[in-house]
Amino acid sequence: MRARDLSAGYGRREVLTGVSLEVEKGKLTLVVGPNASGKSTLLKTLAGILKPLGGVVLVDGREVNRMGGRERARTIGAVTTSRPQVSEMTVEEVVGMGRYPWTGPFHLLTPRDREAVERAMEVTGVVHLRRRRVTELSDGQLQRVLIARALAQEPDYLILDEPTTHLDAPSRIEVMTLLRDLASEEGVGVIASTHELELALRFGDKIVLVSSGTVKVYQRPEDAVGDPEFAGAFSVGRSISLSPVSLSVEVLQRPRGDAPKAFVVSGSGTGPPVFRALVRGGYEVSAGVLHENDIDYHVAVSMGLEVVSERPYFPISEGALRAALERASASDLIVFTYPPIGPLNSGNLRLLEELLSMGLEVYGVGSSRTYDVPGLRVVGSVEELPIAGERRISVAPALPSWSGTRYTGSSPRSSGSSRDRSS
Amino acid sequence: MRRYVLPVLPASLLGSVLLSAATGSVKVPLESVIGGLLGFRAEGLAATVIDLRLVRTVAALASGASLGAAGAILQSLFRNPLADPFVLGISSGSSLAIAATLIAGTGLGLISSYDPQALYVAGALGALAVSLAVVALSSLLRSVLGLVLVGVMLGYLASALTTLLVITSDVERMRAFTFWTLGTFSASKWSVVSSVLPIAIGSLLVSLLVAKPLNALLFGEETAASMGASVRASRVVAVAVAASLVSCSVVVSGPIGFIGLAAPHAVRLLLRTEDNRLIVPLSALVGAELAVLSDVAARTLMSPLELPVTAVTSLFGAPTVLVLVMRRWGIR
Repeated sequence: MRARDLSAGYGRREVLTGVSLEVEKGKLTLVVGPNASGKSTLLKTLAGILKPLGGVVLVDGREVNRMGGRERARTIGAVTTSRPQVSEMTVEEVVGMGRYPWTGPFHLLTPRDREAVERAMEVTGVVHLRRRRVTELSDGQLQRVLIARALAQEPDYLILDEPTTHLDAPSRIEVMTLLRDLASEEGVGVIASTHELELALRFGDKIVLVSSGTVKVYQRPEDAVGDPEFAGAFSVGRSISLSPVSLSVEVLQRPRGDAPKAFVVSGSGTGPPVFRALVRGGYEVSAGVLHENDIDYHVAVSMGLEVVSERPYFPISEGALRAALERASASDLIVFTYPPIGPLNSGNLRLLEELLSMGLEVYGVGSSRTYDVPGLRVVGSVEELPIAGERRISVAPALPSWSGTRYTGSSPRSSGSSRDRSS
Repeated sequence: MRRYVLPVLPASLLGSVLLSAATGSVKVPLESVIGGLLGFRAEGLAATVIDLRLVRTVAALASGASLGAAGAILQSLFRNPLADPFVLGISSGSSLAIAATLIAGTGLGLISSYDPQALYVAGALGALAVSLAVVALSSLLRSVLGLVLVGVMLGYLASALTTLLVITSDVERMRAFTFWTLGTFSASKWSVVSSVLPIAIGSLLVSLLVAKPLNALLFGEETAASMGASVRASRVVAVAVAASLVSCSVVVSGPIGFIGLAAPHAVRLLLRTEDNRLIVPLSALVGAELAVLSDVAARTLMSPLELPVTAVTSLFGAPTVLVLVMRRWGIR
């Protein structure tokens, strides 16, 4: 299915112009974009429900808009956002309605039709629901049934408008998985719009961005992530970042001038939960020394943290160590996350020794740590770390004012646990 | 449930036809009724009585079936459980057009006193006009009750105009007509019934073809279009068929309320289905039966006085509406 120089909209109002894209069989194409950007308009036009204002949509060289209703329905199936008023219909009847373009004037199902209905129910996993009435279904089940209805048309292409909206988290993933399987296993060309950026990046073979009146097609999710325009379409004033490696969305740290500073010594995936907790807690977080091939480095950079780093597979250099020491000693909070230590990153242990010898307090977070570092103040979890603004850690190691400030905070959980420790 | 309902419905319809032929001020034994219906052993007074009762029974069957099917189509088309030819003012619009044609036509000598086919055409056009007005308004009114209110008001308007016409015209000629505007089967004549019956049957057959696209439209316009239904054409045909059915009913018996409303609900309740392929034909069946039974009640409740049939249908119809409204918008 190919759209060429398509203009789409309602009446005389053009919503999208200059749209050229291809929906391939066997691939899942996901359409993302801000609200009211024209995702639905695009899909309805591709499905032949809306007439294009300009340009054409072609399937195997035939213009969708010139096909008869039945022929089009045998080629393209659609699942729209409108809620069907078929509460008393059974699942089997609803899926059976998908045979509409194949049946005669009385819609009597032949054995061939029944076979197609059966197959559609099998593929979508709703066979066991066949006698249930629509009112008795969960939202996720209903969505699968509606997809089965469209599949019963035996279309080459399936177009879905926001199929995961209004669904709970497990159902969203279920529906996305189903769409991907329909593409890869059944060979259907699937195109769907979604609000869920991260799901789209993970499940989509191809990504289409609808934004500011036109579309941009990315052949791989990685290409989308690498495009600043893509992240820009979703983020208000650069509040998020997209990771090209993990295809994940990170909340960017927004530096405030007066925020207390935290420094995290981590590695091998032990750092990200601490980074996020501290950023949430109001700290301006930096990390080090991290190797540039360490997952912690990657996450820290995605979150917009300052990182003291070392080249991959090189032992930590004196220069990096000095930079880390400087940054850490100027921080209000220093945290160690007990990463695995080997010859290449053993420099970090020296960093800790230096910091402790300066009389600074270093928190150790790690309930399942496999080794100890003497002199650390060990807490069980990130929640037990002091939260910024509540109890700002002074650089002075001895802190006689602990008990006096204990209850001034607003987080009962962290103050509760620190009380347990001190008693 | 379906297994029991499907054979019971035609059987009970047959029963009510027999009942209708047998009951009245003159007692006719059941065997003469059956014999008369089968076309033999009818003689003397019994034959006359059976013939009279048979006319109105057939009129009730045709009118009720038309209203039942029309009601089912309108409810599905407007997605409104309260839709009905009478509630939406379509019956009244139809009778206004028929009254106007009758008065103008006979006054100017264009048609003979009571030309059923000309009146059918006029009635269908009147029904169509009101239907289109309701369709136009329904796209503006999102509320189900709002649409009903508009329909009821259109109905009142049409009825008032009909009354004006009838009162200002030749009293003698309009006497029978006055009773007709209230809805009745008592004035039925073979000449009228026999010429409208084929049109009613034809319209009912077409209504069966509308069921499939109506089912698709339950999924919403866009989904219906994606399934291969021609949305606009189906709507036009559905409205036209409903108008034709309403006109058949009105020509035969004047505007009769609530049968078109109650019959589809009875079918849905009995079969628990949304499938218009079942609802439309079975509503015709149930509508026919309701009309015949209502006619029997109209004849017997206040005997020897005869009630307008709408008075009887309102007795069961109005509470039905109340229950539907309560269930959907009432106390929670």
